[in-house]
Amino acid sequence: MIKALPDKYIRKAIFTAVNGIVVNTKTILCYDTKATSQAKDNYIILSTQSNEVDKSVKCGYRWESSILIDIITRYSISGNTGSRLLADDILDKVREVTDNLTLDVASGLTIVTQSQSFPNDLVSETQNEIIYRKLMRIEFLIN
Amino acid sequence: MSTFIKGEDLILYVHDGTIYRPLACLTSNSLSQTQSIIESQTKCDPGVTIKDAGTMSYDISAEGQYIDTTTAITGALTKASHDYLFTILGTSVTWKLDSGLAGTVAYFGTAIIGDLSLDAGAGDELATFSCTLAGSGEIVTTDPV
Repeated sequence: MIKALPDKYIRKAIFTAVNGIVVNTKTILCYDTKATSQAKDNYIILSTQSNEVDKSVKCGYRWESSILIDIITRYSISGNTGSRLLADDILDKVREVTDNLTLDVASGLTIVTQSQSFPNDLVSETQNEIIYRKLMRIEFLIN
Repeated sequence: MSTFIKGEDLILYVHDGTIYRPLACLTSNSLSQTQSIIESQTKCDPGVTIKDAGTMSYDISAEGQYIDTTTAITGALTKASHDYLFTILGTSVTWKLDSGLAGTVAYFGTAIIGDLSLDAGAGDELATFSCTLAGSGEIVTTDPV
């Protein structure tokens, strides 16, 4: 039997852990998929999620799930264009507070293992700003 | 039309004196039988070898991921993992191999747990166990308990 899809429970656990963290005196907010137009220059996006059914044990099916977390910092293209320093610090704080997550008891799901990985950084420029992005992927085995 | 049986449906159980406990969490289990053959060459049957069935022996092996079956909070008190098998190592147990599917045969027998091992890796690798039950007597299709 396949248990409930864990996506919303994973997002809830991560949102609870990271939304409002304070890094270098800045309060960093978290958004699902995309930021609102009122978002400040520095924020966290809960990005793509994927799941696969793990049938390796006979006790019941499990989920192999992953989520990509996007750390975004924006600076004006003119003058001081900033650096990746703040993005680094936000990522490190996110890594710390998501190191040992638990899912809502009501979900009936339990995290068996979780691991963090850090894909390549992304940098992009527009006419007005330069955007530094740091990424973290968390992979879960969920029973 | 043939009815295929998935490997995941065939679960190995051991009887604890009250109930059959499923081994947990199994990743694989197998039943291996060997029938010895007695050969004879006599002058009554010149030029040929006569073969008769000798004794039958069998082994059951199982591998799984180690879970806690001693704590009520995990809800696994009715299962048997390394922690339970450890307590009955070297003793004779009644076992059952059953798919639980309608119309399929369950096998029963008595065996001694002769081998039991626990493997614990590093990082996110889950602890695993494996065991071998040395069969004693016949394999039957009716529950002896």
